[in-house]
Amino acid sequence: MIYRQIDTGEPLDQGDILDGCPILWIAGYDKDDLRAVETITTCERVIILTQTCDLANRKATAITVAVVRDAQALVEQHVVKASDIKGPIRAGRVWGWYFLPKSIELGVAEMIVDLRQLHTVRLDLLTALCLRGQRRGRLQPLYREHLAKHFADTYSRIGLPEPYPTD
Amino acid sequence: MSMSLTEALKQVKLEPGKTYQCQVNGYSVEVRVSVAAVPPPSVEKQPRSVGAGAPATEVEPESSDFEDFVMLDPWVQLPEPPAAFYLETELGEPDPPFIPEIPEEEFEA
Repeated sequence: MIYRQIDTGEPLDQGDILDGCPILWIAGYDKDDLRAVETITTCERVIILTQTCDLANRKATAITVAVVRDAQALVEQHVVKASDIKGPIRAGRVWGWYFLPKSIELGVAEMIVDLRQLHTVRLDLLTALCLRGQRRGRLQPLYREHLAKHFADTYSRIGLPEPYPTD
Repeated sequence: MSMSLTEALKQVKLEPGKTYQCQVNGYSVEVRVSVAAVPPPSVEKQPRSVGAGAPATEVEPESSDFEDFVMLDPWVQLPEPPAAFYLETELGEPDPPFIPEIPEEEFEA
């Protein structure tokens, strides 16, 4: 079992999946006056990426989350093909996209964690979501470390301007 | 009945170092015999005149069984979700950085 259901009062941890988290996006701005911007607020399913030790020691008040997208919806929007999901995305071969399988127990369909769009959310806001029963579940150890490794590799990889000669 | 050159020569007693000449169908044929350094190829080479002048065809390297293991960069940016509501915001003061409590023993050398 890759997921586990969590009691409402249990502290937050890396790999927690929460529904309805408010996320702010900058929708528009005046390049001559950046003091005021137009923002969009959406309520998203997110997964916590902040390290377990930072959460456990209360060393973090700003929590890093990634938006979790419904895989089927992305297929229907023609953003990705179903074969892309069944192939390289599910195999973890696309930098920045992490596949999460469906779970009948949690009531979630196949999902893609978008590690290329990160957000910071206040700890107390996420705690409030948990108390409201909006924590869907938790990615179990080993799987969440696998996600964390993919997250780290996405941002630590070194891109070469061109392949070096091998002759 | 057609027979390959290899099969035909197998029926002839050949000695290394010797050169044999004969005429076949009005053509002069010379066979020079030497000890093969490598095992003879199983397929006879085409006469040189067939491909004369043409560049040698490069043989495609055999594909690896692990080509599918190469990591890919995303080919599209996932779109932003549909907006729940719009809001115009004003510039404000950022939250102060969080400074964790550092235990006393951390300062002891």
